[in-house]
Amino acid sequence: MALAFVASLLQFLAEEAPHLVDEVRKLVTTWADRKGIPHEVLLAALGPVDDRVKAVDTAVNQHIAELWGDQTQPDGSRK
Amino acid sequence: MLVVPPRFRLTLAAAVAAVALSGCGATAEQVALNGASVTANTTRLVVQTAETGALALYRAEQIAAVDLVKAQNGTREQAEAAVLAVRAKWKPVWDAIDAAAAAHTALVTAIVAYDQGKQVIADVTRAAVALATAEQEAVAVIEQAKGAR
Repeated sequence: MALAFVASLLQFLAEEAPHLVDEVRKLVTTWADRKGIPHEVLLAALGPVDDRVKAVDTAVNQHIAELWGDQTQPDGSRK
Repeated sequence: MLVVPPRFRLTLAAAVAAVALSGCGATAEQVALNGASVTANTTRLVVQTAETGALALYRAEQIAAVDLVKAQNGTREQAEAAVLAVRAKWKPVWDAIDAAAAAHTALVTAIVAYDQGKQVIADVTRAAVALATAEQEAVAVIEQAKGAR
């Protein structure tokens, strides 16, 4: 449960405040060690690097949409 | 769980030395096992820190590329092409980080198997060398991507 929360928090930070991710991940790693959570379990909960890359890509796509506006038509095509 | 205080960063040379020591009896086996544990812990932190920095740069480069297109009155398609170029450049970085994560898992698995008597110390030290190599490759690829900005 706590791990799921931590994973969600890191996902949120990756999108909204990437400069905080490093420190929070250090905290999470220390916390997991203290709690006796095996590293492989922690890694599995945090997801592969692909997930974090996708989170960044999604944020950038949103940035593009904000600058140029969403041009998606109701049928899914673009103007 | 493997918890060895990361007092120093184990280099590839030290990991190779651990392999050499692995054939020298129980005490040498303990030295090799400790070395492998340190490799597992320190490499985790090195790769994790490098990954965080790489993700921040990856994001910053894409945002800068988009903002540049916008500032030059470019189209959305041009902005999308610009971010695709950045994403393609960074793809080898994520592959290298994935490889380092896999090598870390392999080392942890090997240490656990050794503890259970299912593997010999040489298997553990080989996994430690593989992880040290994967870490160095990941860091090198990240530096290369940074240099190509």
